[in-house]
Amino acid sequence: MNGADLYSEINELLIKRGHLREEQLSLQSTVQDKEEIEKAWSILQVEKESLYTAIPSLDELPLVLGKLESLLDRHSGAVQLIRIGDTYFEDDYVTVGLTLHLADQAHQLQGILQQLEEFPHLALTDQILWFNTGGMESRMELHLRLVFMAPGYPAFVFE
Amino acid sequence: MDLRSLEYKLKDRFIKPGAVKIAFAIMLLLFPLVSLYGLALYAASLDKESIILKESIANLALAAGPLKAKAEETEQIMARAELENKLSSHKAPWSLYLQELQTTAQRNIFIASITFNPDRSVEIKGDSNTMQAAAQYKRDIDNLSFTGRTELTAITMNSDGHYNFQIKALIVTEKEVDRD
Repeated sequence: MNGADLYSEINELLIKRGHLREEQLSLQSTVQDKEEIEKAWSILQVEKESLYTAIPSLDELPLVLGKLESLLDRHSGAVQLIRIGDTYFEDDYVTVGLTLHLADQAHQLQGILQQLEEFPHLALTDQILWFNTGGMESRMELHLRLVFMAPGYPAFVFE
Repeated sequence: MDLRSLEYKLKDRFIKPGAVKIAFAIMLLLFPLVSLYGLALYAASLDKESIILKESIANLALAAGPLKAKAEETEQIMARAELENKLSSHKAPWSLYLQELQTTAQRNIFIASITFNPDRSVEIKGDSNTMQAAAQYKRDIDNLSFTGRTELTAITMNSDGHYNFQIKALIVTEKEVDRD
């Protein structure tokens, strides 16, 4: 081995040592913060399930639509139109537009609206149009947006 | 015998002519070898240090692994909590608002439509048999717990003598926020 080779090997070893020291420091800092990390984690466990349900990851769109479908199936006579579309990507979240046209007695429509408000996944209300047609039936148009975490956020598997 | 002659004798005896040059040449030859040896030792010590660091990292990783996973999960939960908080302004008990706007109307008020808009305003269109009834309905809406500034934006008499009216109100969470 000549001097040049040794110099280059030493340089490589110095770089490698630098990286290893950084990694070691990072791990040491994590271990040192153990109490703090575990405390924050355990506090948030209470809210975890409801938050992951409220704002699921975009991968869970089929699951959310399935639940929505089940809810609307109970009022199939009232549902005139369901439109899912207009996906908007924000910085850290995604919204999927949901338009519903419903027709039924006023109190039934209010009941459906209430059930949608109680829907476990976060649905933002953009616009609600309620029309009294003069007869027994009223009409309602709902423009909602279902909220999902941006791609890259992992889904939560409930045990 | 004086000291100077002794010095010369010693030089003659122990330092042969050209010995200094030879010694210098040997030193020149040995220097790179010694340097290489020194560098090789340094490289070996760095290598050994890397092995020790790797061992230390492996041990730390065992302890830090679950903690890192927990910290990452905490970040995920926090991100969702912050987002939910940020978007909470879009959430409201709309069905309750809708019901209250309907039940507030007196018998002589017919509500044709109620629209909750994205700017958190609500528009109510309807008709009444008197202008006074429409104005009273506007006042009743103004007194609801979830409405802010309320305006009777239009009132028009139609051909059958009824009055078409349009009322616009702001939806507020705190009644005082938007009060004039």
